[in-house]
Order: sequence, then C-alpha cells, then structure tokens
Amino acid sequence: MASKEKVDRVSTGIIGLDEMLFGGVPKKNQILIHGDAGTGKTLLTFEIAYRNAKIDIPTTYVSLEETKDDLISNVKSAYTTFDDVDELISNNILQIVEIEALDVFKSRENWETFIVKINKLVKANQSEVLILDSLTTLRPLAEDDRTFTRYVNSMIENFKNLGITTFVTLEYSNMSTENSGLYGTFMFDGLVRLTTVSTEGSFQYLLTVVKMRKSNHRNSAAPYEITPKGFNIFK
Amino acid sequence: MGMRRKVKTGIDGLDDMLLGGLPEMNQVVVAGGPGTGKTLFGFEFLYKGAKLGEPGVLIPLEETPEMIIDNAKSAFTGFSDIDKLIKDNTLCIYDTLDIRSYLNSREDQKETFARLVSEIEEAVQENGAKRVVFDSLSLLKLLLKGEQDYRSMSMDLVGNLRRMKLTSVLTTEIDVAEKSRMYFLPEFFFYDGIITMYSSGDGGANRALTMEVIKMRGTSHSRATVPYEITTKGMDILSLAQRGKG
Ligand SMILES: Nc1ncnc2c1ncn2[C@@H]1O[C@H](COP(=O)(O)OP(=O)(O)O)[C@@H](O)[C@H]1O
Ligand SMILES: Nc1ncnc2c1ncn2[C@@H]1O[C@H](COP(=O)(O)OP(=O)(O)O)[C@@H](O)[C@H]1O
Ligand SMILES: [Mg+2]
Ligand SMILES: [Mg+2]
Repeated sequence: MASKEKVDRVSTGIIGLDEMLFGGVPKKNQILIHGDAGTGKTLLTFEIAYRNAKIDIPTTYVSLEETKDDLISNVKSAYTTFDDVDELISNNILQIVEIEALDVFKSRENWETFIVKINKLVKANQSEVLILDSLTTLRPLAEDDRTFTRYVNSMIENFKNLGITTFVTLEYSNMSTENSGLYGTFMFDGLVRLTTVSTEGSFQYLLTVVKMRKSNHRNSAAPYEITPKGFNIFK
Repeated sequence: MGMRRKVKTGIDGLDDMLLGGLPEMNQVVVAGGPGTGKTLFGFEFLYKGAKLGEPGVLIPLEETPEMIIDNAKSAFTGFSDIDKLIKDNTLCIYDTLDIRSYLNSREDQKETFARLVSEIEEAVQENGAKRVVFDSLSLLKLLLKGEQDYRSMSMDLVGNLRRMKLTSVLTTEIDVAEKSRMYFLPEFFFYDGIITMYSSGDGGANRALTMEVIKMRGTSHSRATVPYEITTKGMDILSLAQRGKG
C-alpha cells in the first residue's frame, strides 16, 4: 500500500559525490554547479558526462566557454587516465559541441534558435544527461539581471519539459548570488557548491550539496581533489 | 483583548513557538536560502490543515504540481494519505502551467499577474480553502521590470489574499547576504509575519538548518533561533533536550 517512493536516479559516476547524494541525482532534476573560477566546474561536469557515456548513457556536453578542441585537450591533460574519450566521442555516445552564443539575446528568435539547437542535439543521440558550461558566458550578453534570470528560467523550464537531467555551471563565490547575474537559484532542483578555503597557508577545495529536490543528501561540506583519475571526494 | 484565533501549522515545535499557530488571516512570508525546505514547509502546512478538515491550495510557480507532490512524497514518507487528500480536493496543488508559460513568453506582465490572481481565486472557491501557499514571490519578481512594480504587485497580491480571508504562507528565496538587509526592505512591512529558514555554518563541515520567527502580528512568539530537520514525518524543530545531545 503506502510503499516507499522510489526515486529514479542518474549516477554522477563520481563515487564520493553519489554517496553524498544517497545514490545519485534524481532523474530529470535541473542542477546548478557553482563556484569561483578554477574550482573545477568544467572538469567536474566533464567527468559526469564521461562517466555516464562510459556506461552507455548518451550524453551531450555543450560548451559555451571553450572551443570543443580546447575543452578536449584541457580535460585530457587533467585526466590522463581517461584514454577512451575519443572513442566515446566518435561513437556519439559522448556528444561534445561548442555553441557560439554572442547573439543569443539579440532577439526572441535568436534565443529560441539557441534552445531549439540544444533540444535537437539532445534528441540526436537520445541524451539522458545534458551539460551546459557555462551560464557565466551568457550574462554579459543580456541587458540586465532580470532579463538574464528570465531567460535562464525559461531555458530550465524547457529542459524540464524535455525530461532530461541537466547540469549547468555558473561562476560565483560564497553563498550569495549577488554578483552572478541571477536573481536567485529557485528555478533549479539542485545546487552544488564548489569553494576553496585556505587555513594556515594550506589550501582546500570543498564541495557542498546545498539543495537537491526529491532526495536526501549529506549536509556537510566534503573536501575534494582533482586527480588524473578524476574527482576524489573525501568523506 | 484576547488573542486572535490560531491556525495550526501542524509543525509541532513551531506551533509551540507561535503559542498555538499562525494568527488566522495572517499573510506570512517564509524567507530563506535555497534547499532549506520552504516548499516542503508550505506543503506540510497545507497537508496538516487538510488532515484537520481545512482545505488548502498550493500555488506552485517554480515547479509543476507533479514535482511538488513527488518531492513531498519522497521527503515525507510518513504522510500516508497525500493522494487521498488530493483526490477529494481538500489538498489542491494548483496547476499554473498557463501562468508559467506566459511568464516565459510575454512582456505584458500586468495582464499575467491579473490572471494569476483570478486563478488563485477560482482555486480557492472550488475547494473552500482557508489556507494558501504561494510558492514563490521570487518568481513574481521576474514578472515586472522595476523593483517598484514588484513591490506594488506583491502588495496587491497580499491584499487579494486578505480579501479572500485566507491564512497564507508566501515563500521567497533570500540568500545569506540578504538576511541582515531584509529588515529594511520595504516589502517586509506589509506582511503580517516573517519566518526565516537558513543553513548556518555554510562552507564548514557542519551545515545546520535553523528557523526563526522574526515577526508575527497578532500573537507573542518565541524569538529563539531553533535548529530543525526535514524528517519523514515532517519538519522537526529540535527541542532544547535534543539540542543538548550534540
Ligand atoms: N592537468 C591538471 N592537473 C591537475 N589539476 C588540474 C589540471 N588542469 C587543471 N587543473 C585544476 O583544475 C582547475 C580548473 O578546473 P576548471 O574545471 O577549468 O575550473 P572552472 O571551470 O571552475 O573554472 C585548476 O584550478 C586546476 O587546479
Ligand atoms: N527524501 C528526502 N529526505 C530528506 N530530505 C529531503 C528529501 N527530499 C528532499 N529533501 C530536502 O528538502 C530540500 C528541498 O526542499 P524544498 O522545500 O524544495 O526547498 P526550498 O523550497 O527551500 O528550495 C532538499 O534540498 C533536501 O535537502
Ligand atoms: Mg570552466
Ligand atoms: Mg521551493
């Protein structure tokens, strides 16, 4: 009768992170990964895409920041053990695309074209996971914060309707969205924060799951490091 | 003088802090950080009301009704009769699809707002709601261009909820940086009550959720900042004894 609600999940492929999420991210959740420059947002989202593709889950990685070639060579230099990246790309199970976004906010049509382009990519390889790196690139192109927030809101609503699990990145420090260009993060189902702390000269990366709709999650911050084998999240 | 009639939130510790509950017909803002459980708070307020035979309506602008219900069911596995209460419409999670698509496609936002108010009224009349949850004001902010317009629109909304004689919870996302400024925001004066939900110790190893009743017209109340948890049986305000344990 009153059975426990089972939530379908997408694994992030990163063991420590899946543990913090009690098994992974609820399917179809829209997740924002935010943090300062250099905290590893691009590398983290790439690893999520890679790990999913590796277990035959079609994935799309949209790069708004770097060219496809730069992205691939950067991640390869960080993740030297990921030796099958090219193979996954050529099988189109890992679909990496760069989108030139300079004109997205010039008109309603441009914006729709941009969204439709992403939707088509998602359908092309029947992606179950979508990455968008990063929203920060788009903010200066919008007229003001409110306009930017409305566009982001409509984009997230679109991905929800598509039924895809999405990770988008945005650069902002601390706990305040004040300088991020977004009014708030309410349109996202999940929020993962990457920060750094320095104590007595030593320096530490920290990951916090701030919010995750449909899921319990650890509340405390976990230290992490970026290794040639991927993200290593400490308990 | 006598105290106003109280509407039980159903959240044990909170009703104690409020000496029985929210004063009837108060318009209360629940403000706090992302993921602190504002929506779940609103859901529990309506669910517990429905259990007492008081109909309620939730107006979700951030999520679809399905997502609200899924989320509530996954968090509150102890609430066994959610489906039944929804089926007999004592608990109504209103589908705002039209409004949400307008929000994303139109510039003429005053018209969208007028529609929103009339839809709330319709839903309230349909099940005779006494309680309403508006989730969230943050989204309303996207409707209109200037701060000024947002303020007059939220005042308008509150006025309408008062006119319908509802006891309301209106959620809003405010980040930590805004917390101290909050007291000085003009819009906070026209709400009857303010409850904040925050996660403290962010960035550190021990993130803890805390709740505080900042103001509540029509009753005296506790001024303590209390820790709480989201449990399978609902929001749980930790008692002094439980706090002592850690
Ligand atoms: N080859 C590498 N080996 C180890 N760490 C690297 C390597 N390349 C980059 N990094 C680390 O990753 C960080 C950048 O990650 P990135 O995902 O680009 O950050 P973000 O997208 O958040 O700006 C750098 O600050 C560096 O510490
Ligand atoms: N099954 C669950 N078990 C425990 N906590 C949960 C569960 N589902 C959701 N939560 C918690 O509830 C939070 C979401 O609550 P919600 O009311 O949507 O937050 P808000 O509206 O403040 O953003 C999640 O971030 C998570 O911490
Ligand atoms: Mg990056
Ligand atoms: Mg919410």
